[in-house]
Amino acid sequence: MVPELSRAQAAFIQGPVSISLASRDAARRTTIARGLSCRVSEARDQISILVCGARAASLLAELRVDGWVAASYSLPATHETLQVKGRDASVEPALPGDEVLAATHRAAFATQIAVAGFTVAFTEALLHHEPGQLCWVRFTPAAVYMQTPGPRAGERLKAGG
Amino acid sequence: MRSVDSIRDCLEGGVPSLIATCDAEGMPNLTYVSQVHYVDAEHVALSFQFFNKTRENILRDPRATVRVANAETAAEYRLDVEYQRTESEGPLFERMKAKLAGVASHTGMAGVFKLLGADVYRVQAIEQLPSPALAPERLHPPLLPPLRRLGERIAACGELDELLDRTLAGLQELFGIHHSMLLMLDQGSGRLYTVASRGYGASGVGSEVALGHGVIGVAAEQRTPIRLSYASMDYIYGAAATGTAAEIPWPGLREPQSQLAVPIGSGGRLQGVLYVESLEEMAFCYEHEDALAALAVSLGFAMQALAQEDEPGEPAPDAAAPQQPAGKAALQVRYYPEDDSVFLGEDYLIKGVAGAIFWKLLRDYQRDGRTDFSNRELRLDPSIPLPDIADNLEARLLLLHRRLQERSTLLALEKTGRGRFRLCVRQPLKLVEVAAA
Repeated sequence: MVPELSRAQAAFIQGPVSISLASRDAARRTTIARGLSCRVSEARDQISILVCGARAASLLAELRVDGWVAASYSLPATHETLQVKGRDASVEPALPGDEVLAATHRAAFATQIAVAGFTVAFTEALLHHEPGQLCWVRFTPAAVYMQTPGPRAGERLKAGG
Repeated sequence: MRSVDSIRDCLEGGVPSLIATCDAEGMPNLTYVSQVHYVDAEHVALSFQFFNKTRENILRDPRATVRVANAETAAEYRLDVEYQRTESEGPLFERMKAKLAGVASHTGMAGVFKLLGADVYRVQAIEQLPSPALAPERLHPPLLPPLRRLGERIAACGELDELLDRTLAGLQELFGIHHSMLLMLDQGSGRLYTVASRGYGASGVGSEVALGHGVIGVAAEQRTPIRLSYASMDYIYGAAATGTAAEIPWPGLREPQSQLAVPIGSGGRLQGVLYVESLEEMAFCYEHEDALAALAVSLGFAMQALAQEDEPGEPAPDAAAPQQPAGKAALQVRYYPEDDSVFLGEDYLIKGVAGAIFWKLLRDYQRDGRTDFSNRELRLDPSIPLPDIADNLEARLLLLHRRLQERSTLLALEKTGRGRFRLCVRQPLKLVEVAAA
């Protein structure tokens, strides 16, 4: 079976992009939280996004009830944006060393937005996590959407395409 | 609830905002929003540019969540909002369209970002998200103290020319705004004409902007402040000034990076526009818009009050006797009734109502040797096409006065008392009325 995510898309969402996630509660009110790093499994059938449990408490609580999730990835320099959706999100504990992943992503993203005048301190605050609070949101990508501004924005992309 | 006023700094567009909605199945959807715009303490408007999943979702279920961030402190806020309506014309739409044009060209998206509508949402809750926000460094100094001082100066002015010049001088001295203009509305032609400017090589007094054209024209037409924080070709005047015979070149900056135009009104009528611009990006924030809008209110009422005080008083005791023209070759003054334009020799001087006024003065002078006039008689003169109300006669006389000052050493207007003035002629005149071809 062709994975939903193409190789290029997998590389893109693991790059120096802005990551955000959305969930919703039982009353269908949505919640947004920031992702701090993203990994894609070898077979491209699993996406894991690192979040701060303290800052994303509502999102995690909602995902524990119902694993429907939307994740948005955007590269500030080009406005290139993808959205990936899943129906089976689970929350998993982070391992020692995952803080390095968050720090690596933070540094890469800081370089990305420095050209727009944002300081490293700004990015540190934006992508901050509380000590010992990291955890993973893991899901199977069920659909990928193009969201780069323009006429194709919102289009669902073919599996592997 | 925390007011939208308290998070306006997050709505300048520095950090992209996101909106999350939910579809019929219950699947969340995330979309970047080019612009979350301040409407009032309880409402925001989101730019609607593409028909997308967000649109489909909010039309079905109006509830949504918006995340905005402060570009200085990184503080983030969650807004619980409810979609109310879409506006595709009018003041809010035009404000957002102008702002979006600036953002689009700044981010290399000119031609891609096109505003289809302003989606108005009621804000039900605002919550600051937990984060170690940085200490705010105020980008702009407080604006109430300078506003107060400028208001006091305005209140002390007894003449229109003094009022206009002091206002622009005050903007420079107290607000650090170096490039500014005041334009008045000519109801008849649907155009605005510059009566005062500051910070430019040439004053550009008499230069015109059509209603609906650029930042100033849109602000006047929609009677709402228009502000751009980045340069946009769609809103710049510089290139448009062609310098045809009967056109005074636009004095403004060739490539302003920030622009703000605020309408001046009083008694429910538009009087003109206060315009400021800068070579710096993001030079004017929401607070500048507030301050200049408050200033425009004072200005509007001050202009109206000064206009009502032009009952002729006694001529000033030190008014000099009219100068007699020397016996030199006559200066030819041509007048074109079709647009009331007046040329001194080959040089264009003025047109419109101010041109008609000038021609009346010159004819009276030529026929009867009259040099002293009152505002009141001009108001009553059937040959001058003043609208019945809001005639702005003082502004038109001021325009004429300033154009003569800039363009002629032989002709001048001199104030001789309240509501009175004198035509000074220093060379014999030859008046020629040129009928339309």
